[in-house]
Amino acid sequence: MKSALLCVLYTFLFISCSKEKETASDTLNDIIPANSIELYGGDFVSAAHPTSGKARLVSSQGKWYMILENFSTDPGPDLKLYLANNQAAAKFVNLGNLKSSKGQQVYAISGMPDPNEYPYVLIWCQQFSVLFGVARLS
Amino acid sequence: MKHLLTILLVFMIGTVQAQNRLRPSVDLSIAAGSSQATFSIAGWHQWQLGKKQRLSIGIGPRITSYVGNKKDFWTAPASIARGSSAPFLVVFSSQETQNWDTLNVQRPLVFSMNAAVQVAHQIGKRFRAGINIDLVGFSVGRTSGAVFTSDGSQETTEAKPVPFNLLLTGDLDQGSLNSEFFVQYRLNEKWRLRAVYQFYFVEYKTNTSIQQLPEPNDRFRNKANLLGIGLSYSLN
Repeated sequence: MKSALLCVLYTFLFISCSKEKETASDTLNDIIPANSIELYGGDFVSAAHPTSGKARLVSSQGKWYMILENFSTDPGPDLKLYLANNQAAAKFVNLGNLKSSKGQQVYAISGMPDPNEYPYVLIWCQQFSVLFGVARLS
Repeated sequence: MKHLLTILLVFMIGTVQAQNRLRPSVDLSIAAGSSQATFSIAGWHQWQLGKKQRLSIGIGPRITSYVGNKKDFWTAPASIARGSSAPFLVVFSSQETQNWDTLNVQRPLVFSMNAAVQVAHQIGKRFRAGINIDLVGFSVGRTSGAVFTSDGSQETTEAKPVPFNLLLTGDLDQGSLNSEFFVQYRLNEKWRLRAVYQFYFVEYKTNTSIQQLPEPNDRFRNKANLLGIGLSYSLN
């Protein structure tokens, strides 16, 4: 009886205190799609956390990709890669969970958002609404 | 509606006071569902009714604390979300899902304090089953980051709990309201073990009317289905 109550209490506390899984910090080396052509690019600058590297928007064989090169940021919970209209992610397209806090990474983009409407590449902690770093595409 | 509830409560208290045997108790419950959980405490003034005194009706305050992680809340107002916004009929009306937008609240945390009613029935010597529901009260809680999704497009925003709670049937309800179906097992004179199914309406609102179509809206609701256990302590 006592252990059953404690079990439920621990469940409650786990949910109330839980953070999303932290982003991996292994250095990635994704293969860049063949014959890719760079359409837009920009360098990352730090926001709440030190962030560096380059964001490149490329097309290859009729598909669109976001490539992060020489990329580095701090590990954090629930980190996402956004294409956004501003640095506060007022409007955004979610390209997915950040695969790793370090290395070369490739993200497929389904449907091509207009880079003029979404010119910022954000490393964004969704759970706590914190901007880790940003690159402006030009 | 407020007058109707007052009349109902006065009538109920008057009716049950004409009977005998007051049975006050305190209930504790912990319930959990998918990435969400509640802890609730309620104090009941219960009157036992009937010849065998198996039926009881109670009223009392209930505090429910709700916590979740990345939970979806949907368009709340019945005028948008349902085919009819007439009291009671709203429960049976169609769900206008084409009008629903989603607010994914990242870290919802709500404390609701409501007046509630309960009806229960004794089954044999050891078991007791019943239902209860919150009527009216207020909520406080954590302002949280949220992701609003409408027609495939996403926006970052902030949301906070709706402060005022009122039971008006179905999607006409406002704020955060708890309800339970429970079964109790008598351990001894004072203590009963409770198994509960909770259905908790929890509501968040954005700072502006972030939903624009088919009409401006800032209220979003999560209907949480939860299972849990608890204890009931008799005060006499």
